[in-house]
Amino acid sequence: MNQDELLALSDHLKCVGTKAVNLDRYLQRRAWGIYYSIWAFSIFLFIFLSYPIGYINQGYIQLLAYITSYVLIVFFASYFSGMVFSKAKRLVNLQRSLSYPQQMDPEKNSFIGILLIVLLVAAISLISSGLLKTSLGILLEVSFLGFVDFYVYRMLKKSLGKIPYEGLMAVSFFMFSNIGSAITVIIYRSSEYFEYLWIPTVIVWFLASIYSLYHARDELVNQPDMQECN
Amino acid sequence: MILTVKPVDSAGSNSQSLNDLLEILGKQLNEPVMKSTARLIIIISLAINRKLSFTDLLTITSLGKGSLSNHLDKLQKNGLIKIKTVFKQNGPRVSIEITENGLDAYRNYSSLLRELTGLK
Repeated sequence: MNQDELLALSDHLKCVGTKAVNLDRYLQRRAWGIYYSIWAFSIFLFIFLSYPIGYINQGYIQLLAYITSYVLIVFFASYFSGMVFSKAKRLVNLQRSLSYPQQMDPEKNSFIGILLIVLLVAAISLISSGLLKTSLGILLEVSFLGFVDFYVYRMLKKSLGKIPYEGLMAVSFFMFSNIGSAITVIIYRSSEYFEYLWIPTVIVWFLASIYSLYHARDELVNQPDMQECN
Repeated sequence: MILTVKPVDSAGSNSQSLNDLLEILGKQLNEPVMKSTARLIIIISLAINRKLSFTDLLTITSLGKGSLSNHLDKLQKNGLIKIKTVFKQNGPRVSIEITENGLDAYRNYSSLLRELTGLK
């Protein structure tokens, strides 16, 4: 194969890959739409499940109910999030192959995944241990959720290129609720307003989900012609 | 015919390995690589999403139903995908899954792409 043929082949394969990446943004945006609704529902349960559980009189059964329900919520939400993030990661890897093959670093991706799981387990232990009522607990909670929010922002940017409005709204409201709720706990020494400050995030994430699912087709407006690469 | 070839190691980055990769990928797609844009895009999309519905593939490829079915048939005959009918509340739905051979074809495509990008 001579140099010209190699160049032609390279251009062809890049063209196909670029088209596939552009077409896949429709599927990615839809997957993000499902992600928003799963977490909106999970945050809702996380906050308001404490009310019915609070009616349980026996201490150890109440603690068991707290731990079981929170672990189940986090497990299912994380499982579905993992599916969305793995799709996004595979798309990002293809994008890297198309432009900067030397920057491919799958080990880094695995490391972040493991770190997130460790942090998630730490967060569950933190919530169940009652440490959340102390300043150190609040600081740890804000840092962990801030890290999660930043990770979601990075994945949105990498998988969708330009982050759509609903993604920006979702990330911003999450950060607002995270910091706002922590401030109220520190100021009022009570978690009375903590729940209320997460309500806007639940609403915005549900709306973001609907908007994202409804507008996923916008990604196909400038759909490339399938025959162009031939 | 089911091909069970493994992707070539990127260390062998020379014209011969490129030709080998091209030949393997061409056989996997049942057509020369330069002529199978649609099939390659289907394989790439399935490699990223692992499983897609027929409607999803129709939407992203903008091919006609007959043309898409034809491409999917060829890919299935080569063992790159599995086509299943799934019964849902609103009727039967066709689900397309990538197989391990399909993932190998995608890895071959990625290796080829990386080697060619590295040559530039």
